[in-house]
Amino acid sequence: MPTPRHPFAASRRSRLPIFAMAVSALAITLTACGGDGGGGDGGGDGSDGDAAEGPVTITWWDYYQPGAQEDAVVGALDEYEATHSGVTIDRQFIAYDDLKQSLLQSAGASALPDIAIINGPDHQAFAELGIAADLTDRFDEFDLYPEGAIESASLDGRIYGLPITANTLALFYNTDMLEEAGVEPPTTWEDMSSVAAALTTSDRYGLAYSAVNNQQAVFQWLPTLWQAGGDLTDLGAPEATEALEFWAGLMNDGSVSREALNWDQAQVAAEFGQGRAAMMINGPWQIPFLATEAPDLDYGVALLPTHTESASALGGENYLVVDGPNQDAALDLLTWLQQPDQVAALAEGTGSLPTRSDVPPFSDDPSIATFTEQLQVAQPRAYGADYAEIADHVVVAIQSALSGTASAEDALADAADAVEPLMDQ
Amino acid sequence: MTLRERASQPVATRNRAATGVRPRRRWSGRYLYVVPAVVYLVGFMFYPLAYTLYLSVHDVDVSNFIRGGAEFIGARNYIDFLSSRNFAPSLVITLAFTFGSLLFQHVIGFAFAMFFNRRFPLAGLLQAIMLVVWVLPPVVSASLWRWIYSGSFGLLNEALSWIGIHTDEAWLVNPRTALAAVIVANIWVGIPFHMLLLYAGLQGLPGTIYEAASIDGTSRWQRFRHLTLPLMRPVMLTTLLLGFIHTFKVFDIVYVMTAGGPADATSVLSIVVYQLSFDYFRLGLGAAAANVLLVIPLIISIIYIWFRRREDVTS
Repeated sequence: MPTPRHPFAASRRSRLPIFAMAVSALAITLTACGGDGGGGDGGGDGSDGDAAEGPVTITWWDYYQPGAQEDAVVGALDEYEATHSGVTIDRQFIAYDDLKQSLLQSAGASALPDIAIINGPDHQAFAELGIAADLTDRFDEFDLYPEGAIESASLDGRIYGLPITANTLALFYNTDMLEEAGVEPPTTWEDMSSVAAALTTSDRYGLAYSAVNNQQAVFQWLPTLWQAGGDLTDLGAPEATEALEFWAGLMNDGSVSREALNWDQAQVAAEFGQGRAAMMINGPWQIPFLATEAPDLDYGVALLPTHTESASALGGENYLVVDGPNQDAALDLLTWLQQPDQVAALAEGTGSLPTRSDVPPFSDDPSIATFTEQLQVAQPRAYGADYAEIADHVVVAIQSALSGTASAEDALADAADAVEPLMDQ
Repeated sequence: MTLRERASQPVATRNRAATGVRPRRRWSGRYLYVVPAVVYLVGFMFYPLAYTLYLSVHDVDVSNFIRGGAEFIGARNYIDFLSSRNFAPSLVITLAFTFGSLLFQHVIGFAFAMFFNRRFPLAGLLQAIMLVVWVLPPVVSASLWRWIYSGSFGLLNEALSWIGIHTDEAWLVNPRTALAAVIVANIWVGIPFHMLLLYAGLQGLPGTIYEAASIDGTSRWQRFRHLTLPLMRPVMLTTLLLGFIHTFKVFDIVYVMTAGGPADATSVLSIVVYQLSFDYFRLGLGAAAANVLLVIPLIISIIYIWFRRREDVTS
């Protein structure tokens, strides 16, 4: 008996459609791959093409979240527009996660914004891409900024951007929970372990940090590494193992939620704000967030606990001016934004510390005063243009050790091998 | 034969019949009809493909992507990618993801297709509801599953506690469970696709054969095993091929759920490609990796076409 044939079965005549279907399916694959995650690159071409004279539209990209941060930025830009006729600012929000990809795609399509706010450690890569205007001889006040901040915007001795603000990590603590447990904010690693354990109850964790699968985890862990006397350049060293074991220990004790592997710093702040964590490692940019989302929360900020050294990580954003037809107008806008009162307002609104030496760090707020003090021992992430790749290897080590799939030592040994050829020597 | 008569004949016959001078204007006019398709193919398929090929054989990185001047390095990027420490684990993860997803999507999809083929009241409505899952944007379904798998307030742990299993396992955070968790989510997303195609296939089966078989006294299982399965084979293979292509290049659902973590446990090839190009700016290497990601489904498709052709000849 012959095999029954489905009416759809390909006869010799109908083979072509099936072939065509396979080919078109592949074609879909091709185009889909080319466009993976391709959203976010809205028309960034605000350039009029004309010289700087006449009406000009400055396209501005930032990743400030709606709320206090966005209000501060938009307020400043509106004020500039109102006082400068002929200048329109087209401010666009680009999510932090999409920013690098959007900039790269826009660069390929020659549709870049005129000003982009980018994270300090990414600045060098964009300077190397050749899209950033060289500001070295076009701005007079670079000496008012700390060396580390200028360095993050520099490449081969030329300056390709302006630091906006600086930030660093410190320890937020819930005052009521600490009082209730009868403990003080920890000052050493040993303190940290015992205090975090004492603060842990059935409905909250003692501490929250971010070990999420991106650079934020490295930013969060680096202070611990430096406190132990280690560095990313030597992850095979016992200091690095000790630092990672300390972090893993806090999690294994149950003082830190396993979910920290899925929490970015914003989610860490949400946990703290909702009282599900008694302490958190986080930065001053969470202060405006906590003020609006948890106005009744009574919290304080303490310096990070120390081990063999005191250390924290220096973070911050830079302005990048795109090397394009509107760069003069863009630089005028940035110069205006660098006036001390503008810098102070923006820093307060975005929850960061002003970097200019002529702007007082509004020390009447005790939390900000602590962050300003913490900044004294904050170190930049100056590991060269391959930092993004280095950070990814470090994240894998952190997550392997925290989840227990590898010992801290083995995980770091793997990362050390992968990272070594990427380090600028 | 008059010109008018010739014009009404099919093109092939007419050309063969044309012995004299062909009207030139008509000849070129015909090609106008394919211009939109050609423009589309060139602009949206051949150009990106050619550009990716170009990138993949040049040493393109952040310093020469815009400025130009990338050196031609032949297959160097391909060799580097295939021998990189990420490639082998990531290929294994991608294959596990693809076959794990396909197997369950197909079997469950088949079961649903058989179920809906029985034509009962509200079958159409139920089917439409199932399709919602497939139509849902991946970002939405992935976020939903993130919440289901959450440790402290996730739906899964809550459901487990109803049957006496109390755990605060954070499924996406544990490298041992993350891949399985992502596969389960993807199975859920893909079932309606398989169901839809298989259902269409079942609808096309001739009822007379089944009638004849029941008169011969066959059991329901025998009819399924010896009639439905062989008859459905071409539809099943086509569905599996489309499913393979679609699943092998998965990006969005994994990216939203885990971004390749924890500790690279769910780092499928497409995520590696994305990281190389858009995180590390190693555009040449990323393009080579993207081409590797393309070639694998291509090979599977060619095998499939060859297989189908051979089957046609033998049957």
